[in-house]
Amino acid sequence: MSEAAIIERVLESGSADRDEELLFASMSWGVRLAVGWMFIVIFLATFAAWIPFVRDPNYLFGLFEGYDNNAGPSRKFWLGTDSIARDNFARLVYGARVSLTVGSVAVACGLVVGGFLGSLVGFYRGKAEAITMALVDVVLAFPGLVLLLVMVSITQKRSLFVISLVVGLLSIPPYTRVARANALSVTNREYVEAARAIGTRPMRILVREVIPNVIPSLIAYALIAAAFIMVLEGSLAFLGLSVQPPTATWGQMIFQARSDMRLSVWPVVYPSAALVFTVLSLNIIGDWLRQRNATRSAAI
Amino acid sequence: MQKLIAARLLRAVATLFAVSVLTFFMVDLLPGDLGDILIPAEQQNDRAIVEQLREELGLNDPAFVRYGNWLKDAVTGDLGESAITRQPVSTLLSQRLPITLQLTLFAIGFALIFAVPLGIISAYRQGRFSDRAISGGLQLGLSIPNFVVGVFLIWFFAERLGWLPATGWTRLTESVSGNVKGVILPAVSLALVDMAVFSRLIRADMISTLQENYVLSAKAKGMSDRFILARHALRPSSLSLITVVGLNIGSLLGGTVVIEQLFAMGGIGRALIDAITKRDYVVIQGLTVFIATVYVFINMTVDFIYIAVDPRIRSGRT
Repeated sequence: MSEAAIIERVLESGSADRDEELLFASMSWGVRLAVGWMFIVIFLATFAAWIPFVRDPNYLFGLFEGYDNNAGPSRKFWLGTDSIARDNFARLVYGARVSLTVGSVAVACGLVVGGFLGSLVGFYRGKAEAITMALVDVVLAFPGLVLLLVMVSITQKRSLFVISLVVGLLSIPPYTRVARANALSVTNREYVEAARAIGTRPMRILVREVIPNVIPSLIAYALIAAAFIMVLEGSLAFLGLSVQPPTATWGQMIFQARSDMRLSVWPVVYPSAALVFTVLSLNIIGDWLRQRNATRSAAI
Repeated sequence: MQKLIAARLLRAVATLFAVSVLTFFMVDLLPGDLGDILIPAEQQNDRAIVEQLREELGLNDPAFVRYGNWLKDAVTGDLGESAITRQPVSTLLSQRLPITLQLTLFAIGFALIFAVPLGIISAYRQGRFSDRAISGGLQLGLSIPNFVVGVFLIWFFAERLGWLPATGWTRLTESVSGNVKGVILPAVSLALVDMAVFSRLIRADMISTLQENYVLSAKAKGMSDRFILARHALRPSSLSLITVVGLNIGSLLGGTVVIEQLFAMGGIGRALIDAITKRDYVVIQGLTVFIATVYVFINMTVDFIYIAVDPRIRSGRT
């Protein structure tokens, strides 16, 4: 570790301890609720198969056990049944899986590939930067949904894996742009200059100084981008072009329940509310992180 | 300034070229090709005929040759014709564009009508109850996908109350009121997110403007708050608003895909979905390139407005 980095680290570690204590206290009630909601959704979606009260989302309770279609909430079916008497609650929980998987894959691809690429070209500049950013511009010249639609139609089989992959691929360019912009400003900071002055190798500066300082802004961006991606997947599902049925997704649940909306709106309300709360929570947490980053970097 | 504009034009052309390459080869990757559609089913089994027809259609040429031919026509405005309906893509565009355009303009209009006052009130009452209520509401509005808004608007205003039609689009020449009625619900569905985006932007911009010295001096001169807000505070915010409005018109073109489908409006978005489900390759290519072209041009225009409006950029100081 270079001297400049050590000094930096020492200064940082002092404030980091304080940050841990303040983390929860600095959250407003809205942020706490948002974090709570995300915890619940992630927990249910991850352990759906092992949680006793989450049933099989595709089991036809009408056909095999004689339950009513479009039934209202009951003790057995907390959120009622859908048009072919499947458990709405179970479908809602399994639908969260799709949204979360697509969102996480997009974030992972974006952060790892886009984040690294953006930091790299933002730090080294030159021709590589010009070429990379030109490519990024081309991909971003399409409205997201349009490009997604065309790319999804290329794939024959629309499994969760394929959809996530396409969304992940499309996530790389915007992250590259954000990472580059942040890397540009970080590269001008005094601590990078200091590291240069004491003869640290560029690659080391990139890994030790630039990337760690790009990450916080990138994560704040990632949450908001994940929210956007979930809406995109929802739109795709609503158009019938996301993961194929019978796999439950929120968008497709909304689309399906819509035809029986005259009878009851609730089957449309549940998946809509789940989608809106999740997107809202991610937006709130993302905004909160961005504000924190802004005040922290102003304090340095 | 001329140099700036020329450079920007050059970049737009380069981007467009790359966009056309990307679109062409992406659609080229789609399973199957024109031959599957154009060659009648009874001849599909006859290898010799299939090969001969494929040769005539130029389907056996290398991809870059086909791209060259396609681009040559595309530059003159000929985007080919649909393999299924035999309709030229340019005709399809001229029929469908007015619908999408009207939808987009109404959406932006609705968004601005609500966003400007909300943003101003929010900034003026910063930190107070009304600001927090508006900001919270906007945060929520930002998180509701347009198709969810659309579904509930249809349910409430079309099915329950029966005030507005749920589907369809009436030509302006047929009935003005029918046309406007038909576009309200889909435009509002599209407008909600943009309204939140614009409003938050106006609020953030105005809060920083209201701290400027010239606002203080205006106050000291005894000007009314109302006058200061409208004359001194809103104007500096308009530049970033132009940018975001411009960029959002572009992304609205993507958003209309879902809304046109939901409201059964035959705009460009619906045409794209139709083409994708029918695997009408030429149409997919043409529409996608068109949408991306519009998007690139809007971005460029926004930059030009910047150059024209902001003296710092005009003189090349930044």
